[in-house]
Amino acid sequence: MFVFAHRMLRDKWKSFIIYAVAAIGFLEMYIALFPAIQKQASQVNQLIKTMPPEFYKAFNMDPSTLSFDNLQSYLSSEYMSFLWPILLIVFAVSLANYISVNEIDKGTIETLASLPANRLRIFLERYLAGVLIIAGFCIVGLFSAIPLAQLHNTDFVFVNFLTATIGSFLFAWAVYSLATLSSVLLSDKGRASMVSGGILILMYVVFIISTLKEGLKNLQYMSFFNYFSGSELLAKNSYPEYALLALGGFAIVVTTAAMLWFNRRDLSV
Amino acid sequence: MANVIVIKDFKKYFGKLHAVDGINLNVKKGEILGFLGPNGAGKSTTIRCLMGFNKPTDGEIRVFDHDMSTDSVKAKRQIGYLPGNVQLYDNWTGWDHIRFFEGVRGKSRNLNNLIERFDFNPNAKFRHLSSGNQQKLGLILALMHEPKLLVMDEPTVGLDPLLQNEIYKVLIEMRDRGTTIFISSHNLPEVEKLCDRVAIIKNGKLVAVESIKVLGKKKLHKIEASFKDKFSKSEFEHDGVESVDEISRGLLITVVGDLNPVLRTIAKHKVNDIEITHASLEDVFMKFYKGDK
Repeated sequence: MFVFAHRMLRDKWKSFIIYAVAAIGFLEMYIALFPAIQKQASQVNQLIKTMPPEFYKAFNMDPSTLSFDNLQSYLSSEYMSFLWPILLIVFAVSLANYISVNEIDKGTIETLASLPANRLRIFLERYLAGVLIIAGFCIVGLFSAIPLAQLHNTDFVFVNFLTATIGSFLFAWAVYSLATLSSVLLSDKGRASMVSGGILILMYVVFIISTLKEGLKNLQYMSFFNYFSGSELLAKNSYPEYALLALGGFAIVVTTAAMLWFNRRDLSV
Repeated sequence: MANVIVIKDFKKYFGKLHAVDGINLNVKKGEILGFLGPNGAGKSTTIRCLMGFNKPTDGEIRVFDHDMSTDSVKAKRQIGYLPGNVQLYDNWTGWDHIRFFEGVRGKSRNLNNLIERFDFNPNAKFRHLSSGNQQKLGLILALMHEPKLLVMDEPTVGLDPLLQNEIYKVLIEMRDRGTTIFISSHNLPEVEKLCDRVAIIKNGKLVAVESIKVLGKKKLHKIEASFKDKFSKSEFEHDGVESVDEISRGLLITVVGDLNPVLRTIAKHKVNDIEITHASLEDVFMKFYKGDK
């Protein structure tokens, strides 16, 4: 039972550890620096005010919440604005590739498909194992900040990290679902990664343009980055319901399409 | 006898390329069928659709009476599959593969016997195995649940002659127990040794489906004779003589069917040397491929 999910968990645990250690390492670096930065918070906050608002928009940051007075605001700008989403995206795409395109690319799909198991079962077990791994990574990648903050005698607000974890999970789930569709549509691993990455870069560019140009404001709804903001999640502890609906709805629709396609496509090419 | 495999008007097109263009073929229970054809003839495409990996463009493939494009899971419980050029998971050991297969198919009863028989070490990772040992692992995975149908693509490629013979023994034992075997191969002596029937595919169409015995009767003979006296090519052109070619002080005569008229003509001359050889299945196979049937 759950042979395919179990096997994916076994095959991916090393990647999980590597990504988790990287995330914890970055958190430790930022949190270790925080007490020193906090002492000079007023100077840094002054500096922040001198920067043009477009600069913050380019990094999906809200200057009104940007302050180095508390750990949440500091991490939302230093960790969650750029590094954390990159880690989430790269890890989610690598997990999605495992579901189908890696096997087709390497030719192992014939061995897998020769087993008496429904394609939908193979897909769902692997997909859900990936969702579980992503959830674990989001928990480790954000909640590790709490023991590290205690280690460095820094104050923190637990509930903000909980909200940030939920928001990060939804963002990563949507990216993972998009990459899963790419993984089942294509037969070349490099191309599948490139398509997923390309769409995400395009989404980022669209989001930046939509924040800079008033006339293109509505384009922001086409981008995942509109629904994932470190400032909102970690600094303000706010997560709008529409973001949950948009990312969750996208993930469900795209996963259903990927599942149906995997069930009918030619596996051996 | 019941048909285990029924292929009916099967077509597989990739855009404008007609990889398989309407083939019909039945394979009976307990039969070993050799599926022959050069690269690009449509063998692998047929096998992939037979295994349910790919969907036919048109027609139907049924195995154990299950449609392989819509209902292959039940059939696969009884099928062992060995792909050509076995591709397994680089970082998994032999045991990892075996346990994974057992997780889906259930506990194997003849695993230890197969490991011992093929002298295989399941502790090594797949990427560290030689190509012969990779093939052994593929064979163990295909045979470990005692399938009722074996589908094999080049089963002995890369194996030493001792192991090849061991595999022949295993396959013949399985056939004797009622297992149906579908082998795609380029190794024609192997096909001749193992198979009851052969199906020859050319440009996506079946050009011949014959029993090995019938093919044997159709076999060509090659007679190489050198003479001490004068001779002419025309006196050897009897019915059944496919070709007469001059060689040094003699002739190379290719004959289909009865040899006696040619031998009687040879006996009229002073013969210096004579050699008569049976043409192999390979010669028959090449005959199909040299000219359209």
